[in-house]
Amino acid sequence: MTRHVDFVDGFTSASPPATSGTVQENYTIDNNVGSIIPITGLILDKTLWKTVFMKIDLERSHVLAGPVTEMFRQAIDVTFFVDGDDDWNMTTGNFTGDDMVQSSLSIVNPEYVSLAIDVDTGQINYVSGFMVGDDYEGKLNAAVTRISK
Amino acid sequence: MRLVVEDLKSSGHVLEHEFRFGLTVRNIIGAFIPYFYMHNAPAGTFTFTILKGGVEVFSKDFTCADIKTALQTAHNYAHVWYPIIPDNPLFLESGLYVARLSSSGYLSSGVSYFGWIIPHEDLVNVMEYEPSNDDENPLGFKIKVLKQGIQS
Repeated sequence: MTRHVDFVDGFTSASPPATSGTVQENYTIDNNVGSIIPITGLILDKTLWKTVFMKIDLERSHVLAGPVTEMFRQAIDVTFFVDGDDDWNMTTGNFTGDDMVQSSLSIVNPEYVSLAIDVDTGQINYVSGFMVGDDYEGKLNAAVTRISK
Repeated sequence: MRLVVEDLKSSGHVLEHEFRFGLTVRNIIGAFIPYFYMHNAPAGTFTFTILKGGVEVFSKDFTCADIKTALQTAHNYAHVWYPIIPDNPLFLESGLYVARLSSSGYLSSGVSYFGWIIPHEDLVNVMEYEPSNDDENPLGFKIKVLKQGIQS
């Protein structure tokens, strides 16, 4: 997996250079209903980026002792964009599987996303519910496929 | 300039680069010089290892603080050909080797990570395969050989 980094000048920098290309992060999903997972590894900076296309791949398996009894996997595309009032917005990002799983992504306080060094103010959250049983684990893969200024 | 970076995932993940000494000589190594990228100076210890036939023949640890000291900078973002100098004399004979970057106590994220740069062109080394695009170029890597002796 590669990242493309635009280094403006020289060999060192005090501020983060713009990153594009494919950026992939993996997040562990907590067990079951109502858990809120902050995606802290990806900061959307509106001073650098105006549009972020993200492919999100959710995979979860039932992990009771013994063989895996249930499996859920779904991929969706979500677009994050800065609109006229300079806030981050996102297209609908709902996973709807069978009765076992329902989950979604949301932006908390979108006006602060560009300042989201503090994840308490500008994080992207993942929420899930309707899972049957308590013994599930999984991964959320978020791949930023394109970024434009 | 645009850098293509193969990033090191969190501890347990490794990046590897194969290289070969073709001549039948003994190479006295002055330094291994990989092309690294540091994004927000992540914490943790990185280990650069040379293996032959799966057996470790050289290893040395470093941190992002070491890189910043070497560059004499307070900046946390840098791309650098970073010389890793053996503390003791190191002789490598002809054969196939693997250069490996690994870590401990390191956590990769979108805002802080460490990587190995894939240069657009490699003007020093000869490739044994044809890359179909720039992302398939080899990781940036040079070796400073102090002297070559006869391998008998």
